[in-house]
Amino acid sequence: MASERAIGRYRRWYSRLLRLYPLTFRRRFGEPMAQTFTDLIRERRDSNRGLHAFALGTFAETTAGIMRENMTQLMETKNVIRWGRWVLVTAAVLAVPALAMALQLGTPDPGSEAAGAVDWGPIDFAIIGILVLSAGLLYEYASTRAGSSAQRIATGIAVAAGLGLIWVNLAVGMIGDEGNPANLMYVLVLAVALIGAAVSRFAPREASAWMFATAGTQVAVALIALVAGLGPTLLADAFFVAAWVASGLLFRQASLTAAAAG
Amino acid sequence: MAGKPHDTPLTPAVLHILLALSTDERHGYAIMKQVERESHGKVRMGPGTLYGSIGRMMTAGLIRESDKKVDPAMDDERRIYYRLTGAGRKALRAELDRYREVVAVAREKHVTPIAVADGI
Repeated sequence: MASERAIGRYRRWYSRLLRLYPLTFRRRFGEPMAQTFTDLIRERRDSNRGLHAFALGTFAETTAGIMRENMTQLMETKNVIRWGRWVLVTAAVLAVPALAMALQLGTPDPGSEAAGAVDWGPIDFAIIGILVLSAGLLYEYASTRAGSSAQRIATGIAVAAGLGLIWVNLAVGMIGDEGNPANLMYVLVLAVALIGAAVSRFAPREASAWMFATAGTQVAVALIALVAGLGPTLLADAFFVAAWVASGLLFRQASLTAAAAG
Repeated sequence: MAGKPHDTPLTPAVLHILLALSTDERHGYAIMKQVERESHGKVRMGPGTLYGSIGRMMTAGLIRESDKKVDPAMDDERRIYYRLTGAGRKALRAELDRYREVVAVAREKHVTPIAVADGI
């Protein structure tokens, strides 16, 4: 029966939609909600009423619920404190170059013209501030979806590796200097990691595969740079590849543990 | 709602869920159908509203999961049934009393739906 196939398809889509709920809510109500949706759509089918408009309406209604539950969770006091913590971390990170500039100290920095001199402009502060804060908030968001400490550590490593890769490229460049256009190849590495995060929504099994793919992309970029004689910093590449692989292994571990726990 | 659930007005969704559970333990789909029946089709809740409300009601101690698991008429054993708690019954009673008081005041003032509609 054609509608049976449609029901199966809508069930799968609805189950995917439910993954956008906060982890605690999903664990508690994910299965009953999927079951209720199946009951409702079967009822529609049995009474010969249209499935498509009904499914669309239910998806919209559930999406509103997802937004409400995520917002409720974000506004819980403990979460506001966690998010606020990253504002402080960002301020602390930015305080280092600001203090160095005030004291005229020579430390490595992404914005200096002369080697050893700390000379950040407002744009440097803005870029690094946004990067650190975004990475922190991304980590916090992903942590709310993490079911184990292995998954949280894997997320932390991945976010730190992504932040580090951007920072190194802005500061000194992985290939040549920061102005070398060959460094744009590393956008591919970040794109794979970001697409992976978006597609997998940090679900451990899928995230693991995406982290290995990210490591593979970075290996490919380093090899291309090596073969083309662009002079890549292989030690730095090896460091980031190790970080992506470590993240992938930890996500895999989290996935196996979750599977064993049923 | 968490502290003294019967002291504050309930949302329409919470009131309807309490009413639906006042006569029997029910799972999500059965609650939806009961609400629809009792409201003569005027109130229809989607799964997002229903389970969001159920979550908040469980946190507030108005309802809890029941041990009952299988509806013989249904084919899935994963259904979760919900039942009223003592606090839930109190909250329902308090809300219905509040409604009765409001209706009594309206009667005293001779305010009827027709009078309101006519701007009297």
